[in-house]
Amino acid sequence: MAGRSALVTGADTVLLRSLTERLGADGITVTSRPGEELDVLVHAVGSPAPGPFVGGDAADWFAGVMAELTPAFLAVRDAVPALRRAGAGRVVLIGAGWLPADRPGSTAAAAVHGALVALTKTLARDLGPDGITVNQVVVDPDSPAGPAAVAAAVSYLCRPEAGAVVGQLVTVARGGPLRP
Amino acid sequence: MTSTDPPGPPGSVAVVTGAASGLGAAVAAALRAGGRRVAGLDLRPSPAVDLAVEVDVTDGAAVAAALARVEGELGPVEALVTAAGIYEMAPVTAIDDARWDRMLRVNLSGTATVCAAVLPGMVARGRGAVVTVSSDLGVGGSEGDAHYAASKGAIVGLTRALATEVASTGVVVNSVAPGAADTPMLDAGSPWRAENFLATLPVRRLVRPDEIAAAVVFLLEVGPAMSGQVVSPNAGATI
Repeated sequence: MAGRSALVTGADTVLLRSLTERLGADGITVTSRPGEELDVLVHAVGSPAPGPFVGGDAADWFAGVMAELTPAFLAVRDAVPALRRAGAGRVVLIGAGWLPADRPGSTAAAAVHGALVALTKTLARDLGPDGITVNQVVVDPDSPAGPAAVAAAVSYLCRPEAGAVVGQLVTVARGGPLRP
Repeated sequence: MTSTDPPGPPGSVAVVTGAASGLGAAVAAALRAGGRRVAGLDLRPSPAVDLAVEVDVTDGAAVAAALARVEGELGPVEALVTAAGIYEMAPVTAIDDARWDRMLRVNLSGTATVCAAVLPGMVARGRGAVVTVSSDLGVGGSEGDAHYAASKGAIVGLTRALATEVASTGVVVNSVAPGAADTPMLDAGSPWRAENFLATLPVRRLVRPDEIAAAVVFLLEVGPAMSGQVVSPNAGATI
């Protein structure tokens, strides 16, 4: 995988360090700023704090959702032209999949991560013909797997041999809901 | 939880069922390339493994004897991949008892029998990884695949149940659910090879055996953080 470059973004600095080390060990040059050439985009998405949906402040709820979604959607939009030029581009979002929908008071987190699932699957179909795969690594926000295991999953999805993994949720956890 | 276990220590023993051809052979090759010693269990001799054992995976006594031979000659089994399986298409009205029983016996009972033979040793040693091979059709279903989809969907349930059952032991159980793959399981005239099917896939092609093998290797090596999961290299057939 030598000669490839990855843009790795998100707020979790421990995870970002682990991702940088792992992709670096795979021979991928990792940057934190967009450049002209790009083979891989990895973006880790956080979750708004739990709170009531009914009776809570609506503006706060939407602000919490958009604070997580906007950077993720923009990162993907901005990266796609370079990923198209790369020919075998990879987008790996790190999120919580459907897990927040199982947790009390988590409507904002469920909205963020449900939207990410929709983005992952829809874009996977749209970008597949360009040779770009779009997938999501799912981590349980309440009981996160270690960063090394998450980085191993990202590393796998970025390999040339993962080119048939398209629009999938790869859950790095033990058990949990099984929804495609 | 942080995974600190070494992934697939060199020389560790892997058992691959269905290793004589197709997907099983691709998995065996990938594991050997990674430094593991591979025992291939198949009705026919597995050509490129460290120990080939000819065995019917649906025969519990024969599987137990095969496992004893593997452990005697190669050592304790650290990885199991159940790739033995059969495929045919038939409308549900044409699936008589014999066809139904054969499909379920080979794909589901064969998987369960080998898991039941291997898991106790892994649990006793407190380490090991199992990857079953289910199918994208086991999740998505398709016309002409009632018995096959039933057998493969059941493997997903089996996998998740086993993962739960051994959750506290250090042993992990996951599944790879491939989409239509370019292996001998699909004959030349299969509708899965037709241009009008391939055109529906986001990546416009069948899955390659080495891609399925890569998913298996990932799940064997990711460590204790991941169990009861299904990874589906399916070319986008089920998104």
